[in-house]
Amino acid sequence: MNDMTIEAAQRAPESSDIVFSGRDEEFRDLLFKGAPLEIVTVGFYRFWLATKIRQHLWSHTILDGDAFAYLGTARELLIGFFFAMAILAPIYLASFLLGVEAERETSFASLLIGVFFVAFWQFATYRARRYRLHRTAWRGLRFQMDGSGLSYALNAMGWGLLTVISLGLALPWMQAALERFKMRHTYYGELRGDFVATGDNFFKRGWRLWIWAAFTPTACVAGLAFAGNWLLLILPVSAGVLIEVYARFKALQWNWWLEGVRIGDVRATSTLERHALTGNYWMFAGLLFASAVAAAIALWVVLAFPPKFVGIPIAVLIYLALIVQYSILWRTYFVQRVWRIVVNSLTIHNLHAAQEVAMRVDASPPTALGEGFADSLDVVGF
Amino acid sequence: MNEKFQAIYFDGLVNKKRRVTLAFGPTLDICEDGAVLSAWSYADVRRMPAPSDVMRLRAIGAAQLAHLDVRDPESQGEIERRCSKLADDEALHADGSTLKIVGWSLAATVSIVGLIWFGVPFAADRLAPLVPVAWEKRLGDAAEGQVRELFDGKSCASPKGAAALAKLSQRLQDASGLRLPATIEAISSKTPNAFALPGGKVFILAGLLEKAQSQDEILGVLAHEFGHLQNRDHLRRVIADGGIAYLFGLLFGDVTGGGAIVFVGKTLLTAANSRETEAKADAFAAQTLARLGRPAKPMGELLLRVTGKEKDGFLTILYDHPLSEDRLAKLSAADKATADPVLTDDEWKALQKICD
Repeated sequence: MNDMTIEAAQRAPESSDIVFSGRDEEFRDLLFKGAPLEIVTVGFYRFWLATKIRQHLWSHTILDGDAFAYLGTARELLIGFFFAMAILAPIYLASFLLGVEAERETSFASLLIGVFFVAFWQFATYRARRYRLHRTAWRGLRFQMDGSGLSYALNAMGWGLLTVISLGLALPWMQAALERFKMRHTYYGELRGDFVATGDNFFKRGWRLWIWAAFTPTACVAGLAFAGNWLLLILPVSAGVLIEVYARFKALQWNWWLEGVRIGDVRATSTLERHALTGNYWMFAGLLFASAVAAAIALWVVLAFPPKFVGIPIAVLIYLALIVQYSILWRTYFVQRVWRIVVNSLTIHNLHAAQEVAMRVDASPPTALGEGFADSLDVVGF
Repeated sequence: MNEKFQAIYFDGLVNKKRRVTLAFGPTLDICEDGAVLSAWSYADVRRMPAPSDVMRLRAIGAAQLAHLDVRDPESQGEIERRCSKLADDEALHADGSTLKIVGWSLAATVSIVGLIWFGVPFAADRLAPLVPVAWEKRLGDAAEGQVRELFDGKSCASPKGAAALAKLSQRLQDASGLRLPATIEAISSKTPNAFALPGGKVFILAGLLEKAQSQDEILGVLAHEFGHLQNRDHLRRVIADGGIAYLFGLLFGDVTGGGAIVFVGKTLLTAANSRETEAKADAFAAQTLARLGRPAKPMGELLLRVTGKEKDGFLTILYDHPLSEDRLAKLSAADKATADPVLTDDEWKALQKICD
């Protein structure tokens, strides 16, 4: 009898629900307050807004009845940012002096120093992920990440070069390699993560999108050369195609990634369809276009009619409103909506493997320095 | 007092979800199947942020993520009665009130902008003289390579024109008492402009020679460029630009669209600095010309011819030089012509055709 139940359990993998319970209006209220505050505080509020957004997303993501917890604070992010700026000061100075020497050798050779900052950016994103994971907990137990940000950065640079040379065709294998690196250094308590999806599989599912993505700009350029008058028609059509390609690519990428992720024996399946994100990105594009057109008309009116000393301040306000609007749209449609759609498409299997997991002793809990670097290098994160 | 209530407990060491009962004795005892898992002293219990119907508690001294979720109102009331420091938690207020954040941000902005406005020019003035001339020359070499690539123009040196330029250069250097030797080079480019590079190189573009109606106009412009060399304006600018960019980097960060505000701010401040620098170089030129006994007004006339009328321009606050009309007025006031022209008519004509 006992053996039979075990057998049955092995045949039908146990599955658990994961749901996102946050309401869209709640998130909207968060942004309607936070985005204008970002402007008023000349950007310093970004640390608080990012923290509140994460708290909202994490605490409304409920796995098997228990919500995730985000343990980071805005103050940590602020301090991380200041430390990063302090560390970057001598680096900026050194890169300037090196740049002068490089210029003496060959003109514009100093542009190569930009490569260093790209590598540094990779390092920063790795460390930022480490910070976020370490501040994530479920059932009173943290996620963690180890591994060297430096070797990740070198890896990412190598793959990045290959991807550029291959015009993007190497992208699936790059992502598989980098995700393997990240997930194998990811832990939930003592459970170690892994990533089993392959670049081959990603490529097989996505190569048609690559053709569309390559074909559209080519057609645009060709259209420009041969049929100048048709340009007004060609541009919106190709913008539409690119939005469609992007939306499908993201859905595909999420699906591929989610099914490749392992935490111990815990795995996930996703019912995300090809079109799952399409409506979302179209909504974003439409609203952005509408607000840009509205702002352009308003700007034209205030600069053309009233006297300058009235018109210019109003124009500045319109510009600020546009920034706020963009910030709200971006965070809604690229962060919260995607999160909601993706989480709700998920089913988790073998969660019993994550019962009674013990804490993993971490020698050096990460600081927010990585996020500070990422922020000071203008990485948009959430 | 031995009444027991249901709650959910995570010990922060193992992720097991435990259904526990609470016993309110001398301490808050968390019990599972009759065994006490943990005993929290009432003074150590703190409330944590949680959904509205849940009272989430932690205890000082317990494992970091250990927490207790209490849903039953009766137990919640009992806990509120017994735990006097329930709301003392920093985690509840750790991130401060919005008003405080706004206040501190504005204070930080005032201090950063003050540092940019007063501190950066001051630092640049003090640091520039400390930079060895050899370093200044290296900077100049680097810039020269870029200039040659960008203008893609040949260096002009028709024999007669070069001789005239050399003579002009020598007379100017004698009169101005430059702190380092300068070399003037003509480049064949249509742009009407002239500029100096750190380390003593001055470029004059053929477009400006074409627009000039007299040699004094060119003499004045070159004297102005010597003024930049004498005042180490490039070095000061490099230092100031670096400082300004860094300090502005503290504001807005990755806020999308904030880049434009930062750009406008930078442009305004740099333009203000630059207007001052240009005025000083003009004053230097007027002095040098007076020593040569040549008029300063023609230079102002050339500038006005090149820029066109600026007085009623749009957004003149963004200009990186004083308005051409004002410069002309100042230069006219300093005009003290007493001596013969530096070049003969033939030499001047040769100089104008140096690129042909």
